[in-house]
Amino acid sequence: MAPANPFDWTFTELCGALNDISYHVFYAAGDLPHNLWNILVTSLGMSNSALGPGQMTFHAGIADWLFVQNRAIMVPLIAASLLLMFTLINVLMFIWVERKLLARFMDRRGPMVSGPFGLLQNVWDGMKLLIKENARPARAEMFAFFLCPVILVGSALAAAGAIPMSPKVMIATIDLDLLWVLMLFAFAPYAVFLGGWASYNKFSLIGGMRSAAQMLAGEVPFFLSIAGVVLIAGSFRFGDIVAWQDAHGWMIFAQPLGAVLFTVAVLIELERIPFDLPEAESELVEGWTTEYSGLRWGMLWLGGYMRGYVGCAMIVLLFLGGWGMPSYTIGSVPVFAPHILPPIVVFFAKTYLVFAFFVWVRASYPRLRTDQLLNAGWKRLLPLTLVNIALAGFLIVDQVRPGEVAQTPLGPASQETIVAWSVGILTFLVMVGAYSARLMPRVLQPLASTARLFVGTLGWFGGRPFTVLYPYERLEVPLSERWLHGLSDEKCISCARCCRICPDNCLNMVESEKGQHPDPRFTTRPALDASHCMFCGLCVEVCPTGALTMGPNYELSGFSRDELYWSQDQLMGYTKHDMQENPKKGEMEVEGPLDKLLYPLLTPVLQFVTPHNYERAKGSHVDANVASSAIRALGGASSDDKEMGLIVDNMSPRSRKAVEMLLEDMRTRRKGPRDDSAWDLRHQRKREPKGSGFGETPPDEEDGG
Amino acid sequence: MTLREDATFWLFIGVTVLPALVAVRARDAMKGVIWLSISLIGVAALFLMLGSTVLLLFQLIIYVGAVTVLYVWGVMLMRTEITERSE
Repeated sequence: MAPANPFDWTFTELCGALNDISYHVFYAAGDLPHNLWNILVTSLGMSNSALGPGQMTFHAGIADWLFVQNRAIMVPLIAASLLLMFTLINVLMFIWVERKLLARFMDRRGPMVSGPFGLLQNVWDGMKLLIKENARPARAEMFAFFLCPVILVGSALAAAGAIPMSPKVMIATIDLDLLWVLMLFAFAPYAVFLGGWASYNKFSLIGGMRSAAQMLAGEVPFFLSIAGVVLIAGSFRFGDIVAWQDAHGWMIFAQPLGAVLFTVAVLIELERIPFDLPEAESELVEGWTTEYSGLRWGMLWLGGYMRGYVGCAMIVLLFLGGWGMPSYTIGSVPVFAPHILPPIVVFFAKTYLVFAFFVWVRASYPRLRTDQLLNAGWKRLLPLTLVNIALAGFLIVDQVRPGEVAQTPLGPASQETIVAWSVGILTFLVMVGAYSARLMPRVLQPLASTARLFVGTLGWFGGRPFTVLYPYERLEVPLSERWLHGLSDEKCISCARCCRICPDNCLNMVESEKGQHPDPRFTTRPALDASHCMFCGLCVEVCPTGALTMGPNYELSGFSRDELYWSQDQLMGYTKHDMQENPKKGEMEVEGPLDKLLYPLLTPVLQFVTPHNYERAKGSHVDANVASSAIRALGGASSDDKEMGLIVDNMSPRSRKAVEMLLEDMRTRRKGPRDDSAWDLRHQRKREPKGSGFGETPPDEEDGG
Repeated sequence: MTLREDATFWLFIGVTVLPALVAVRARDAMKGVIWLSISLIGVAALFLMLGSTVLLLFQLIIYVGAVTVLYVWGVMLMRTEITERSE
């Protein structure tokens, strides 16, 4: 009978419960329409001859294997699908953590649009991979090419299934599960070089070669650095190792060198930066995955992150105490009592922290060269793992030969221990003495620079992101930027100089429909075709009255050419452009109903996470247009309250403040008696000495030509 | 030995011996290594049948996982046209 608390269920009990459910569901499914049933049954390899509700006999095929006495139908299937679902969710979370954290290290925001905190982004990316074409290279070795993702994902999945998450929660109970996971880790290089070799592509092949060399250089320290842990804990089982750590303290304190070596070896095995030589983007397009596309490429990605999960979980289980947490009490008062957390929560918190550390490493270090990696693997890590095993031997020398106990300053210890430690310390001192000449430049300086890199990256973490939340906020350009034109109706004298000087022919004189110029002779106004404007500003320079200005509205985009055509009346602000009138029309519909529901809830959190305020960002989306309009109005030196009122009408507080600042700025510059300062400014600029202007070639040169 | 055990034994023998023959006869060194690894997996399966899980795992780790990868590396480092495929 399963216990009442689900946390206490073993996986077998869970499977048993699910099996009972599926058993009933399966029998009830006998009432399904015949066709559907037929498909289901034949796909399972059953005979469809004896089908009827409630009475099913299964004859041959896979069914024999799947169904034990008509009952155990779903146990392997449920276990496999649970494992798959669990691992997939984990992988999605890992990828999300990686993208988000890496983005924060780079002062970006990472995925943030779909779902809260962009959590659903990876789901849609997976969907995208699902519908993409699975290209097959023409001369590829097809069988090996297809086998590569299968081996990679299969081995990673089997390894993930052997990882225990708490004393009670485990997918599969395998004796010697540590060895099992090591074995499956050793399988992955096959997938890599098989894929690289089968693709018939030089990038893939070089990536596969590098991978084979790297895996070999990494695997040996990977295995040997575990040896110390196994020696000390005395078991190949994760459960026993964690139990040892619960009793004696975390293994990282007993085996600090081993922990560092193992972490480095895991990074090498996972082909993560700084050891991602097999898929170095800058040298080998995508390394050994170059020829893979669509969901098959997604499988490689998936397998990689599954192995990432297994690697992080191994570090946690072997060195960081697994699901156990130490607790401290003063008297009987628990000061630090994380042991009240469910073990599975502790385990996953640790695993994700280790992965976050991997991301930190990725953000900090450049990629190694192949020779550096091989040197590191064979010449540095391998001898150090041997030293580490010796250290482990010192630790357990008591257990091997318990001898006479003597009192030492550090506590009681057997004579063997004292002798062993003395020899060890002496050897260490001799080594330090022998290497002291080379210690400073070869060991300590690299360590120091490494630490500097590492901490420096952390300084970048949490900075203000550069990302602009485009639909919600615009880049704040200076108000003097020369982008979209503005036109003052009162100052334009219809001289058409702007149209004549325009090198791209994007200005045309058109009769204004809404203009209110008192003189009927001056009613044509320039209309702008912004689709080929290059914003040279010649039209503004040549305008004799300063009627034509350019403002900071730089967002000249649209879904049709018509949206890039700004009529004379739109330039004058009498009618609004479509994009101004209905900002949603030209923009992507980012806010879904879910977002509308979530943003009010998440805004405080987001404010905490990122310095930008979403509300402010949303309000500022009209700023650029508004400021442009303000400049237009001021360029016309209009104190016309009606026009300004029109503009200020639908302003956000922030926009209004921007316009007020602008007005203040213009007022302080009004020194002369004339009211229209913009006109003044234009003419001062025109009076400045300049080189030969456009169309002002001296006549003698023209003659000479 | 029951009939089922007998059959399984000979199945594993086949998995061990036939890929070994194919590996020896393979013209492409790369394919030879792959067949060799399958043969070594067959040996591991025999260990499992004999009831030694530890031997199975160490066989897979050391021979399939490490030694064959070393062969692959060697094959890839050889200055032969290993990518040349017979049409």
